[in-house]
Amino acid sequence: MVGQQTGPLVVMNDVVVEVAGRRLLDGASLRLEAGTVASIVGPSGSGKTTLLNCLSGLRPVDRGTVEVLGVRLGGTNEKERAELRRSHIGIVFQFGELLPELTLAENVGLPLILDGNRTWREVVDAWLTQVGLGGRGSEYPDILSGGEVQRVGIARALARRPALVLADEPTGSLDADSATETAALLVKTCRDAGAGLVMVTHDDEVAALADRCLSLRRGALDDRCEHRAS
Amino acid sequence: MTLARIAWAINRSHERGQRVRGAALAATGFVAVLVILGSVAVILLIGRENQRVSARAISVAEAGEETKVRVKTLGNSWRGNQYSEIWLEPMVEAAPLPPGIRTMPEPGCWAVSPGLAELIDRHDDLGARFACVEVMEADGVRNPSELLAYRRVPAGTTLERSAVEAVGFGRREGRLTIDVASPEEPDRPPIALAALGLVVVPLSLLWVSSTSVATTARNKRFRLLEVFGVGRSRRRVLAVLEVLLAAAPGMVLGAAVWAVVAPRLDSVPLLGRAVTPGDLVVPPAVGLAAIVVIVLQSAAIAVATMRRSGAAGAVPRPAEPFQELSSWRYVPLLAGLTAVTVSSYFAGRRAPTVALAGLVLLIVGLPFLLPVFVRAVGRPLASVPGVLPLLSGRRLERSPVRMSRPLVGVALAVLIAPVALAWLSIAREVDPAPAGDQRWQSLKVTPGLSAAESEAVRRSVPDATLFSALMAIDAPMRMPVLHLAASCDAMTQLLGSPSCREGVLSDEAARRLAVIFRAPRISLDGADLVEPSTSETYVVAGIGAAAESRVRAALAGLDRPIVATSGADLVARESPLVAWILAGLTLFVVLLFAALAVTLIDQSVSDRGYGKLLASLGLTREQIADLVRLEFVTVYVAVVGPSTLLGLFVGWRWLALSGTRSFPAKGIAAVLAAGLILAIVGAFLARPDDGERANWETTGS
Repeated sequence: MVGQQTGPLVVMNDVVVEVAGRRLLDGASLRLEAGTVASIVGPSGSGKTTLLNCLSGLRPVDRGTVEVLGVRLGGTNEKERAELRRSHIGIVFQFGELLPELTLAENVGLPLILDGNRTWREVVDAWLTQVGLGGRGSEYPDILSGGEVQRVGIARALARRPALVLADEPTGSLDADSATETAALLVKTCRDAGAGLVMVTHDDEVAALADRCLSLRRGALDDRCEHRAS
Repeated sequence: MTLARIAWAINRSHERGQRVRGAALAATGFVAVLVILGSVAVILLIGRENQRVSARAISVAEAGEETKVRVKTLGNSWRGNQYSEIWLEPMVEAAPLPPGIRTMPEPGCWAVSPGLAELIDRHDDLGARFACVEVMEADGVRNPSELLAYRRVPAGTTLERSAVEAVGFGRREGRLTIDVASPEEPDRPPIALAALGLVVVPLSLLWVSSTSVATTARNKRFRLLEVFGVGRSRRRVLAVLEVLLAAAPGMVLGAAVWAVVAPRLDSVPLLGRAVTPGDLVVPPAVGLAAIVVIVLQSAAIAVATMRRSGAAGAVPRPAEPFQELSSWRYVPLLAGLTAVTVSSYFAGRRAPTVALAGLVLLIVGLPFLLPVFVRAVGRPLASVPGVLPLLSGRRLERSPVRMSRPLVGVALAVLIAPVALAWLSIAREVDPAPAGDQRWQSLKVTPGLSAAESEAVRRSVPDATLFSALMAIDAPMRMPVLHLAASCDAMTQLLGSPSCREGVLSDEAARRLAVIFRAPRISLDGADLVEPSTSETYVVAGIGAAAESRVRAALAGLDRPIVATSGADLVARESPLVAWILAGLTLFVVLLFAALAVTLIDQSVSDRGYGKLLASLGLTREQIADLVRLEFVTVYVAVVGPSTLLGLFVGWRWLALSGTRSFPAKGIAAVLAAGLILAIVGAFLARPDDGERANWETTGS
């Protein structure tokens, strides 16, 4: 479905999404090139998470088109969208969202296990080392701090070397020091892996790490990012 | 006061989960109060009925004491309905009266229970037996449907042989009393144990299901209070207040419904047995005490489940902790198994009571042990290659309590089913009636009739043939043989075909006569056998209830206390216990179903996030459904398998206690088949929200 990535990473055209009679996205458009690190800022309830859900194929749009990695989501079925997420999109959540019943290694390796990759343990060890949790793969998530959970979440999102990473307030549950450190790790790791990153955040310092900062206001995106630190 | 306000605020939250929790708690409060008031009413009813039975017990005169009334108790039947006949002979001017009778009936007249009076009114053949009838008051009968009749001996008749010399009625300390026969009813200890197992346990399960519904609004407040330094005891108070505030409307409604309905009930709900209107009313003080018990039960469960629902914080933790399973979980079940196993070493009625106590312990203990079974299957499942076994196995291993909770009801149902079937099998097991003859049936009349009485019966029932008879054990073979005062000619006439060969009964005639007279062997001893006073009389008449009724009416006209037994009296008849067992089981199943429904709704709400997470990781809807199916089937096998084996074991022990050999295999096979169908349907229906809210194809982007 997705071939060699040469075109834009994401193309959204005039997207409209209504939730309970309220228009969260109202003519939102976006074009991101491969390898771009973008941050999206906006007030609470402005539709940032909805935007990420649309990009990941978890939520349909009421109007407009969404194209991710050259695939027009409106023309795909559920199985194809799941395949797109598993193979080409990594997602980082605000609270890590690790599966409590799996070890750290299994959490990180889950996308690889889903693919039937028999060498997933070697790949996972390398990723855990890269996020600073080397040698702790057999531990369970319930003993980790919030920052450590996010590191595992980052490793999981990148384990299959996706072309696009979507991060929904990845530092929202962390203290200021941990937030900056984790965000920096996320951005660096994505850059090292050559992955594009779309990161929703409230934190100006985190937003400042991106190549491009977008603001979501009244349902539309623009490049005048008021939150961006100068 | 502040805690009450917080509890109130939690209940007023508009969060969907909180609305589910509020509705579940209110419904549970309603059901709990209704069930507890109903159960208390039934226990009070049994107490009141037993008091009425005690009040009519015959109080036997002691040596040297003046006899005030002679009493003779007999059994009779009409169309298979057995009833007690009590003959009274006053020996003093103001002879004592049994309860329910205000004045001594005229000589030869009857005082009958309301149930029997209703039948007499509706059926002429029964009415023919009762001349001059008056109806007893309700205080003389166990319940309105009891069939009971008192008769004052006719003028010129006296009760001499085997009558009880009595001084009055009612049990008295230190005096010998004889109960007037009454239908079989459960004793209080077994009914209290059954109420514990079949009502209190599933009711507790329903409370656990309702109080375990976790909501963000509630969890956040508990976490915040903990962060602010509010102690555990005050948080417990908050947990109790929150549960009680939610459940209170349901409790009040339940109490109001019972207060309105109970005085009007003329039968026990689910049981169908008639009661005197007002007998199910619970006195206010007792009702209040019962409701306090429910409040305490809900408070205890609110505190016990606080950890689970209150542990998740305002800021979500990375994961819920590994659920530890301590060894005390084994204790109730092991104690129950021990009690069931050793019950056969107890004598008399203590044996089934011990077995029942063991069953109750098993019912209490099984929900605690199910997580152990679930973890035991989760571990090997997780090691099977593939992502679905890994995810399922680890979930079962890590959260066995949560995973097994939805199927606790099913586990208890399959535990109780074989036991209940065994119970019913025992209660229904009666010696089968012998096959009847195509033309004739006999009634055995004890004591035997005099010649004049026989002639009177013949006049009333012209087609009847009467034989004097005597049952004896014949010496050489020690076999019971019925010696009939009859000739070969008489038998030939009766059977319509030659009955003897060379003066001896033919095999064919002997076989037919054995059926007609319900005796293993027959001997013809000529016309003159024995004195009527030491023998029995067999009245042979045409087949059917009408013929039997005509003979009984003729016997009733003899004005002498006699017992007549027909083949219809020996027909296997369902014990009244069966209705009690079925009513208890119905309540049990209803409560389990309610608990199951609450848990499934809760899990459906809380699993939404899990499905969405898996979808975001790239699992397809089909894979998520397969995962849930695999989990369901694995948990089902882990939970239902051992529970069924336990049920079969207890059922087998139960049958062994009663000496019953016929295991209700068909019934148990039906229950297992129903369980299998439930598993298949459950696995087919199991499907979580996978996070994709709509079909993209229909949105046209």
